[in-house]
Amino acid sequence: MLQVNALSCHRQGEWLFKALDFSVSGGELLEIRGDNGAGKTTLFKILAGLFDDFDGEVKWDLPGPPLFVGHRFGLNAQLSPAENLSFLMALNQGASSREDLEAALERFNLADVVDQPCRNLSEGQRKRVALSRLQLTDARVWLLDEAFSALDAKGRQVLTELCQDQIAQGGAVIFSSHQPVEGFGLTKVLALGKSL
Amino acid sequence: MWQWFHEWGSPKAFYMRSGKMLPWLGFLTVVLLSAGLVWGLLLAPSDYQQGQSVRIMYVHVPAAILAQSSYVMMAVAALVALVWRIKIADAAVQTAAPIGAMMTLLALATGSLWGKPMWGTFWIWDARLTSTLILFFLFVGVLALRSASGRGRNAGRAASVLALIGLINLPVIKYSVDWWFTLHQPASFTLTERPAMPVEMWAPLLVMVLGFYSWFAFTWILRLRLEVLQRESRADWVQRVVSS
Amino acid sequence: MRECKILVRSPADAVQSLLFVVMVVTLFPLAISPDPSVLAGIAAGLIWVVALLAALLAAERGIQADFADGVLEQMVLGNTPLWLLCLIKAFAHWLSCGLPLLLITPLLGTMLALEALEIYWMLASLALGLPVLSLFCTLGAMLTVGLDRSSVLLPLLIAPFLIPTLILGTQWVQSGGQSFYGYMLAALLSLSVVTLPLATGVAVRIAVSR
Repeated sequence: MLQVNALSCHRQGEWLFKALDFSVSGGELLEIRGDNGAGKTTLFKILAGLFDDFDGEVKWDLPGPPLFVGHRFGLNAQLSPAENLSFLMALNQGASSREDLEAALERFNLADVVDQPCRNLSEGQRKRVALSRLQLTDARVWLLDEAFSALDAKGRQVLTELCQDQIAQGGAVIFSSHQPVEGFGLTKVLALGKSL
Repeated sequence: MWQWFHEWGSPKAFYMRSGKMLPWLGFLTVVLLSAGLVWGLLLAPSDYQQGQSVRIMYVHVPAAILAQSSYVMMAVAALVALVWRIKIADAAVQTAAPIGAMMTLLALATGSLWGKPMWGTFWIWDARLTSTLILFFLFVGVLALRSASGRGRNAGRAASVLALIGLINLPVIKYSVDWWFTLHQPASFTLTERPAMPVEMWAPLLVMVLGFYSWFAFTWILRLRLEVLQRESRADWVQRVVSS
Repeated sequence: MRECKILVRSPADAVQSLLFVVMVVTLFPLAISPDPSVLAGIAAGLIWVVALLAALLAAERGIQADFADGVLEQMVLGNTPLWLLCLIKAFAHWLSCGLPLLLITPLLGTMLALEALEIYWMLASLALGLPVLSLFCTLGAMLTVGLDRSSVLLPLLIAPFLIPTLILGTQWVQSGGQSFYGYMLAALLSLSVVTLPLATGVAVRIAVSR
């Protein structure tokens, strides 16, 4: 699905990473580890196709675009979670039904704020709104930057379940996280940073 | 054709080849400009209407022509940089912009100096001066966007897009300004009409125009070489050139 | 659809544009002269210039927020063609700034001593010209979003491109509605609708990679 050859990126005067080689196929989980500033977010942006100032090759073999959830959640503060979700899904795959939206939000324990403007929600709640997309999407690859941070135990559990479902269906998940994540079986690990 | 593109597209090749061209170009510039200046400012006849002050035309007209041409050239380089991602084209846009801006300023300044003896005022809203002013703003816009974009490899892309939009809009702007002017032109104004110039006048003008083009090419290549050195500063060949 | 909702939730933006326009139009008689014949002479141009300024001020609306929220990223990653999304953004700009202006033009015209027929032509020229302004402003916003001092940069970049629309629009009114200008404006509008969203789409990709 994804093949990366000799990827190097130079930003603001220093090399973030040099000559990375890795690949991800269906049914695989890739964890990207590294300290803050080691280049995880840049790598995600490169993989997502948002950033193209790099050397090397990034080859995707996918029917559609990957799903990307980054630091910024893509939520407009004045719209409700349901409206935001509906918009984000519509960008990729057309309209979603109200029931589907509610079900996805409910899974993350957001049933009671479904129609409130997002500016009233806490950071953690907003993160969960962003992650609710995972249940609705049919993207084959998920790129989740800092996926597990700012979530409580229940949220992490739901996310883990979603990822496991995705893997079981032959998709792939690439994520980064500060803390070790339990609940996954075999994962590939890519470590970035000065300690390389 | 593509062969030529790719040959010149590599920064190193460009640097080496232009190095050989540069002295000749410089020589040509000096010759053309000095010949043109002497001829125009001293030897050519003075206009029966405007007297000696018409000589400013020998600087103003080439500057104005070149101001516009340089924008077109810059925008073409921008197109090459955006579509074919040739790095040196991006550097070309970056280096052309300040030269073009100064050329436009020169055209404006000489235009207004010319205006004083002719119409009694330093500024007049005629079609050409106004379009030149707008051209100046277009250049400043590209420069400003460029400098705000930072220094990455792709930093110049926004400015290149702007330059291209500017190119497409340039005819529209010129057309509408010309037209606006003809609508509001007081009856006594005959600035845009000029009686046919005798050979003794347009020949030195031609020399000056060519001289300006040559000077522009010279300066552009010079700056481009410097920019190439800066951008490729990590490469080996640059270290060798700099240390030699 | 989404843009409409956002607008409705924060009507303050549209009101801000309206107030700005009325304020500036009020300033001119104070600064120059309340004499109706003077005002009527400059009215067409004045309203147009104010429209331009208001459009430039409103240009970053929505786009700046979308950039900060990460919505632009999602737009680039999605399946929907970018030019369509940009066209919608330009439409949103028109809704929040152009449309209110259009609605208040009769009032402005009266304040500036325009006659009914002139106001009619004013409306016509604005109806055709304001969308062009919106398209250019959206392009400018996408080119500068995420940069330092983008709100100063944007007017500087886009103002020259607005000049043809300005000239055509004012001439249409001042010539008493000669249809030639109308056709030119319509042509300009069609050209802009077709080309600018594409360019804006390119600009979004550039913006997102910052």
